[in-house]
Amino acid sequence: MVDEVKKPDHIKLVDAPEPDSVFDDIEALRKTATVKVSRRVIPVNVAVKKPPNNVFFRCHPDPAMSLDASIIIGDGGADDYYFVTPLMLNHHVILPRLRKVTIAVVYTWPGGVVARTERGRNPYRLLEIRAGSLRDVQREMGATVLER
Amino acid sequence: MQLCWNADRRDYDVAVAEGITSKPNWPEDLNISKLLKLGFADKIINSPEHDYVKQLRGLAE
Repeated sequence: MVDEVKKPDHIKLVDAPEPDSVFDDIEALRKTATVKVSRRVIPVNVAVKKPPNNVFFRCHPDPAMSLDASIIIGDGGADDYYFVTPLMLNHHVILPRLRKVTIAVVYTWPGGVVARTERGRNPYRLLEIRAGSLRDVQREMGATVLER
Repeated sequence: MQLCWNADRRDYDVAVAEGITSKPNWPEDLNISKLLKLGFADKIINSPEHDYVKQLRGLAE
């Protein structure tokens, strides 16, 4: 037989406290969550493509940001470009396949998501550069190849 | 500007945007050398031993 232990009167059962939520003090969150960073475009990927016919672009105004060059198209089609160095320009396999082009750095409108989803499917796309910020990805900078 | 191939003229039609007002945000720390390195990466034919040249020569499958 077990004697029932009598609980002291000053101890009462209470509900378990609710866990603190990070959203309880929304004003404090607003202060600390304010983004104070400068935007910067960080190209991480460049694909050689022709300018798509549904996209506007502007070439970089500095002539130093373009280059007259020779390329050949690989077996991947219009999106598959190989840069040919001067040493190889007269090679018997390369010579008949050469294309004289101007490679230019361009800024396109629009870019970003559209460019990603169409990448590899639009035969007119030539060259694009991924931008690092969400805003800039809407108007991503790129370079393009224009046939001479 | 926008380029669209015109098959009848066998040349590109050039269109100018009617309402784009934002200006390009050109990166200041990039030059065309870096861009070309990114863009062509391993697709630079600099010797007869390049894989694609060997493919064109019938030396690789």
